[in-house]
Amino acid sequence: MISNQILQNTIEGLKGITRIELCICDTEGKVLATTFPDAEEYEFSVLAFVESPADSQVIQGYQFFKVFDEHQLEYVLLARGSGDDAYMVGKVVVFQIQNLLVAYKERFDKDNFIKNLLLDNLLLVDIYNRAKKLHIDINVRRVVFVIETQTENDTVALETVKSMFSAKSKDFITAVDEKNIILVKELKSNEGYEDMDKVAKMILDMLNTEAMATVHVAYGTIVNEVKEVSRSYKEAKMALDVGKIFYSDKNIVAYNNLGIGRLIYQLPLSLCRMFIKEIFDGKSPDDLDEETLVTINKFFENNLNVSETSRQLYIHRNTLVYRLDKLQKSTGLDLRVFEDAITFKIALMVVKYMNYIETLDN
Amino acid sequence: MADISFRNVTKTFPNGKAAVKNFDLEIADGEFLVLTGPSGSGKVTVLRMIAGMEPVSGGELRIDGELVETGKIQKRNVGMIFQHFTLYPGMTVYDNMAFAMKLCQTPEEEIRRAVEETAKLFRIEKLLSCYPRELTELQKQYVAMARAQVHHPEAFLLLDLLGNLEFSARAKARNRLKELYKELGTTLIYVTDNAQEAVCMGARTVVMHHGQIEQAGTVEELLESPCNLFVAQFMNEPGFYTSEVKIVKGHTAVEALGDKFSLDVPAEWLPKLERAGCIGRKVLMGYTVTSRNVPEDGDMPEEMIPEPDSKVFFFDKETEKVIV
Repeated sequence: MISNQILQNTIEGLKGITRIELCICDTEGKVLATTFPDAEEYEFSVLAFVESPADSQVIQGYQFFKVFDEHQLEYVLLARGSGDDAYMVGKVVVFQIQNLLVAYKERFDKDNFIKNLLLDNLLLVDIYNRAKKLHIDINVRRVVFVIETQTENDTVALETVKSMFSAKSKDFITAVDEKNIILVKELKSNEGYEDMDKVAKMILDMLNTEAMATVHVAYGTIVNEVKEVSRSYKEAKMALDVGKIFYSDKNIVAYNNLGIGRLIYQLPLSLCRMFIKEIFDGKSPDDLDEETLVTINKFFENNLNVSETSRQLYIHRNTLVYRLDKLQKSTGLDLRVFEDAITFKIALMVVKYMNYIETLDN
Repeated sequence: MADISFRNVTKTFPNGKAAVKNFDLEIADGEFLVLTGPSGSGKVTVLRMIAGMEPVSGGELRIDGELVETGKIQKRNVGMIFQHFTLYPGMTVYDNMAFAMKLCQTPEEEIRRAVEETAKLFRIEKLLSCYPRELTELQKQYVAMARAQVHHPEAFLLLDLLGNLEFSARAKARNRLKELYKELGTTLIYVTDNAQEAVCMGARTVVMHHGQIEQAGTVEELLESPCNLFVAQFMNEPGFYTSEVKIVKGHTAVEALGDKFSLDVPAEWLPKLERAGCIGRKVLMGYTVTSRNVPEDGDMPEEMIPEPDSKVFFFDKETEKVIV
């Protein structure tokens, strides 16, 4: 992760102070930086040392040290001499390199990378360079899930999601804000939207039953490249929003399945106001009384079937007809006519959308 | 949790969709109840209301006599396992069971005791050090149930749990479930959209449709005397057919005349048919056809005529309520 140039500068600087020759090799024995010639000769000794359980050892007049990055062997350091001085200086150098690793991690951290990727904070060139450095495959199909919990700072939910996907380290989980957990999932070549729906159901069922959390899960489209991950994230967020407005009875919303809600969500507010004014002549369907709204919804639910609707509402058929006539008088729309019914249905959805936008503004 | 009581409970979602309507149901302490109905009938919403994950919109829901506040989400001590459950893949069975307790920072000793006790109850002590990938589907299911039992829930809510098992494993799991129910002594509510599964459970069964209860009763009651066409059809699928017939009273017997068949109506049914004014009129006849007459590779054909041992019901054409 640290460039060889930095390693070289470091050991040269330390040699200048301590006058002890130093060399850094990777775990395959390849020399990355050295202050003395012919360091390649020690390749076999390095390999043998890597295999040995010792953390430090004297071989052929050099102190060998292991440099770990979070328990993973990253480098082997050679310091010339077998005395106490060489041992002490070697330890100092190991300490220095380990700190460098931590500093670099922080900068190139995977977590940061993905967060920035999701939020579009990266230049295109940076995306590829960093992805490479962090060993993130560029051309793999991925999809972004957004999981919204009801309670803020729900650590149980986050831990549950992390544990569900932890065995597959290539999936990435983070919390962007207090209520949203994000899962960037890598897909196998044979996986498609059906499988994603299963994943969403699994997340929902697990969070419901294990974390006892009420959650909404949304996911974007499947993207083929790492640079498109942010698009999938935006889609998932939009799906979550659209789902809240139009499909509040559903806990899982897929971006590619938003139906008519998707169209309405894209409309400018001014256009919506004009449409509502045209249909309701300045009034709002919100002004309709509860009874009428229930009647209308039930009528739509039953596919404009008068007898079925009246049966389910426990009212006489004529009462329903009377209510529909009354509505026709006030709005000019006869819900028994398909054209009028569809206009009314869309108008109701547009009003829902306008109300939602207004609550956001306030 | 003891008893659960629904009085005229409704649940309407913010988008106006009424998922549950006028729902009345009493569930006794320690009862094994099966809730069934086609998908979208509101079963899951009922389950979620009991679990406290979905606020009640209207009516009275009492749990252990205590009124659940309308419009409020309350966490309850229930054990839930839904169809799409999963075990944490990177953890052993022990850690899977201990996970939630660890998150609550329960002392290690207490966790160990709870997990070991529960594992014994579910007979999975030998699996504690295994990883989920080493388990069979059936074992995974036991582990999932044990994981829920660790908290000593007052009720178990199971949603289509056996749906993802192979047919042979299902019977085994079902029997084990019944055994466990007896051992645990907690209220158990099993939800499924598969009527055959509901029948196999053999417990008191509630059939839901469009957010309402169509009929509640024992499996025998639902199979032998359904209250309407929907229940008869749902409980007897596959192999339930309907046909319009005319009830004709001859000299010696009463006959049901269909387009392609005629059938003698048992004499004891006559009073009921007469009372409903069906003689000489058309009614809807529903009948079961056993699948033995169906080619092995095919689905049930669209039309079949009744067999000698068919179960037969007559329904009113308008209301679809059962006449006899």
